[in-house]
Amino acid sequence: MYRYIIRRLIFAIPILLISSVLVFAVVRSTFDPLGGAAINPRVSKADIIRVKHELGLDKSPVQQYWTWLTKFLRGNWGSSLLSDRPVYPDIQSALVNTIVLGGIATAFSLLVGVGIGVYSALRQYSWFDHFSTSVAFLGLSMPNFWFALLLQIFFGVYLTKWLHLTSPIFYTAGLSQPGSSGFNLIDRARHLVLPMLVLSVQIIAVYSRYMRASMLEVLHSDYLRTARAKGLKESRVIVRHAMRNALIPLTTQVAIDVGAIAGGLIITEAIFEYPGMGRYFVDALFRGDYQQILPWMMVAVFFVIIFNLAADILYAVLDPRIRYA
Amino acid sequence: MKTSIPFSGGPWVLKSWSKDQAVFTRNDKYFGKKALLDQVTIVPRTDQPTEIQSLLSGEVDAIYPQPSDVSLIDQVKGTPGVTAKGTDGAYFEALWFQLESAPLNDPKVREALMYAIDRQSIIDTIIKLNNPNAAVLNCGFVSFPNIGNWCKDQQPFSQFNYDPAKAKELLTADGYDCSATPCTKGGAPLTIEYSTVSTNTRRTTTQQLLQAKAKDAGIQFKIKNYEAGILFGDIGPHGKFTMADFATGGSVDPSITSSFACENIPTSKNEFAGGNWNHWCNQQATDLMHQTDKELDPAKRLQLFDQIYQAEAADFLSLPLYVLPNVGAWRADKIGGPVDAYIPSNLGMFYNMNEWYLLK
Amino acid sequence: MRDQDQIERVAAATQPLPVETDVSAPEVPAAIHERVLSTRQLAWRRFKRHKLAIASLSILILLGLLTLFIPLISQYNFSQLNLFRRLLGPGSAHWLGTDNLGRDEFTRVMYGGRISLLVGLSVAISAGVIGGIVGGIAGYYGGWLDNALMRVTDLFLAIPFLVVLLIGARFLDKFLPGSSLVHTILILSLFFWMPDARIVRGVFLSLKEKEFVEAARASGAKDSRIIFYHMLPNAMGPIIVNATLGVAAAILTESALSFLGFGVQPPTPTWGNLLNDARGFIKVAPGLTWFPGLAILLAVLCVNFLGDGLRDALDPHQKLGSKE
Repeated sequence: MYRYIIRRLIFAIPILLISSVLVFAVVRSTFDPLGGAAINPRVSKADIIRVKHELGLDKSPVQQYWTWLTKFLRGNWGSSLLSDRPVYPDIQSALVNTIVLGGIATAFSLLVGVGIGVYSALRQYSWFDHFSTSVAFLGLSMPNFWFALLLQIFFGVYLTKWLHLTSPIFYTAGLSQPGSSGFNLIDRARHLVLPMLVLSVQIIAVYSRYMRASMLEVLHSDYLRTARAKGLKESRVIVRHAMRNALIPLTTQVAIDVGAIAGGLIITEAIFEYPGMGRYFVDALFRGDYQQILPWMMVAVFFVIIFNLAADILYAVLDPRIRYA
Repeated sequence: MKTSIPFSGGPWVLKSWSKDQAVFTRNDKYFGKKALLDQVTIVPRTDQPTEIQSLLSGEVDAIYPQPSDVSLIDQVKGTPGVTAKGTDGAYFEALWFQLESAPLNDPKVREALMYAIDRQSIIDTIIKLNNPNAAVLNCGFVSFPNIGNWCKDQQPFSQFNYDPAKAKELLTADGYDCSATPCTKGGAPLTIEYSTVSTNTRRTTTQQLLQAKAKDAGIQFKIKNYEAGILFGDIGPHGKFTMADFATGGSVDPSITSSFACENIPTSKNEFAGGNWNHWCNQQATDLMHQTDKELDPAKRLQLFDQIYQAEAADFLSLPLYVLPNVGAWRADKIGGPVDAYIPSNLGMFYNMNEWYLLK
Repeated sequence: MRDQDQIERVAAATQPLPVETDVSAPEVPAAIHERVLSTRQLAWRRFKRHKLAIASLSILILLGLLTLFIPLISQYNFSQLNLFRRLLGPGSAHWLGTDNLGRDEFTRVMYGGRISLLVGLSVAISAGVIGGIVGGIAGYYGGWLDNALMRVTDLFLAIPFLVVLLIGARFLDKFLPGSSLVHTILILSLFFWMPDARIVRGVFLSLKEKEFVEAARASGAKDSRIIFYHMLPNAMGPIIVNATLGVAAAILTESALSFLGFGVQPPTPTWGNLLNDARGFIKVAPGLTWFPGLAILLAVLCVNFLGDGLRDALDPHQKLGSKE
């Protein structure tokens, strides 16, 4: 077991390196690193030569990559050529915001999804089971940006108008009320509800299906029959034996999903102007801001790889049936 | 990084600043009329529909967005207490030609193109939604009808009105076969690549409108759009476009040497620095530009500029479209004072917010 | 590593959803049936029982025919302007009203559907081909080749999906001349083949040891003959099911890309860019937001139900949900 974990950890290092090469190659060849300087038609030749030298763009591609990687690893992520803002603190705060939104959405979806899944499995073919299946299909088929638009217009414009409110029940943009300083839990919650709902629709759909399937599998298994035969109480059989085992595959799935959050909430964040990683990326992409896109990509890919690793290890730890050589 | 500026020579002090909001408080030591509001917060909204909804829902009290293909006035209608206003601004929107790229390297094609663009339709369909007084822009590059004297006496581009028959005539004279649409020369159809900012609906709507209209003049537009950063940071400076729609700012007393003189064409020799994205090299006009930079007498400057403007029209340099409107909207049930006074100005709607106050 | 990587589940339906093993189904009667009915008849019989799938299939066929024959049905062209009839509500002249340039919304939604469905189908098919080749090679040859190919598959699954699509769209735009439609199909295919690869690999791994394959090998059949003649037909069921779900995911993803302004470029309408254009008019002309959105929802829902029915029919050992 420990050997397996250590092997996976060591194996992750070359994967991270290869990914960094790929990210660098694609971003470097797709975006003009000097786009931020060239956007001003009055920029001089001398300035461009100076910036080229500062960014190491006058060197060979391999040297460019190496210069960038060493700087990146030391936390020296440079500044945007357009806004001159240092990239590191911005990505850091965006990442925190995204993890808050994604984390809450995942936790909420997990709670609801597992609940629906377990109940559907226990009452297989009941009206609740049929109903939740249909709703899950609806959730899977919902274009989330469209759902976001509808929620935004409903809560932002129509509901405030009908109820004669001065501010909407759930805010349609941003992270906190303009002008507020410090942390206000209620204000923050009112800003988080709509983006969270949009994210949750599909996650709940997937998790509930997932949970229902693995729960059914467990319910039909031999050891559950044994547990029942031993005369254990039904509630204990369900919670301690069935649910615990049915949750194992879902746990690893959640770990993988959490890793994708860092780079994954693009549309929701863009529509709700939520200052997280997704919006940061879209803004940078629209501006063609090489200096911001490159470290952003690296962080997003890094997260995915680390959490995939975590999922693999988690699976090995949780499922005693799996033995690795 | 500094996130506040504790001193100020104006009516406001920057109390705090982050990527998500800038907070201004009253400068009590200001020598002039002190601000009436205690505090103002400016928040960025990159997505325009969301920005407008923020106003309608009451999350913000005033917005100053870029004009879209939608009427801001229509959009705030139905929400009592919200008012919107649109006027001429101070940005010059034009269709820019890259004179070295085919088929626009042929002056005859450019001439025909001038008559294939239905500018009046853009004004009537899209621009008037936000500025009821909008009109086709015919000034020389880059001057405005209402800023200074630079576009008072002559409007060199006023001759170019939409006339598909004339466009076809010009093309036929240039050796094109216009019996079918689009016109062809040696079997190759007359196609012009047309680029703009992909996320700007005012421009993409304009694009689709012009595309349909130019078809009647035998010219086919191929749409190729980019995100703002790519268009202005890569495509423009490297001359990789044929025809593009974007706006440029003007000044009260212009110097256009950096944008139109021969030596400012971006090439690999000057590391693609230089603002002459049109690649327009008219030596006579360039000499005139250099003269304007040394001339102090306003009357003589005006004369020199008039000659340059003539040359621009004669070379079919590019086609001015309209003055970019400035639009603003605010909750008139909440804010009082001269809220709309600076909407037309380049200084922006929020310039005089020290004179705004809360209605109770 | 499982397949569900994107929290923002644009592609959620592409991944084989959790399936349950059909433990309750009695095995003997199936064996009896097989003597009298061919596999195909059996599949059709199972499919017919799935009423939602039948209904979905009919709706999809209808939708497909509508989008194909829209030039005959509608008197308008999708790019034909009428500046005097802008932003009309639904009516007899314009069934779904007109947009901000006076174009007929019904024609545009239907034409957009043609593009969206075309993208969905092409992506699912090309992804199936790529996935089939990768998974087939990995499953058939095994060993280090299998390991390497599956690592690559994992890598592709690991990257944040939409981000790569956005960067990829930019990348293709820069280095490959061609229309935005072709680019969109290409870039989507490049990121949709992984589930197919895993499924085909799994099927091939299990078939490799079967008697009929060994018999074919013993009689000197070439690898390509064994793969294409003996093994691939047996993997067709799962491939078709997965391809169907791929269509749904591709439609959703394409519309998301177009919505962000990176997909198919105007004036060619797709459901995504119709929605993007409609955003500003959500109050003035709400129909422009409702119709393309509902069209996406309907099409994707039908494709998902169809996929569910096909799974029951073609892949009876795995089934999703409770529909019998």
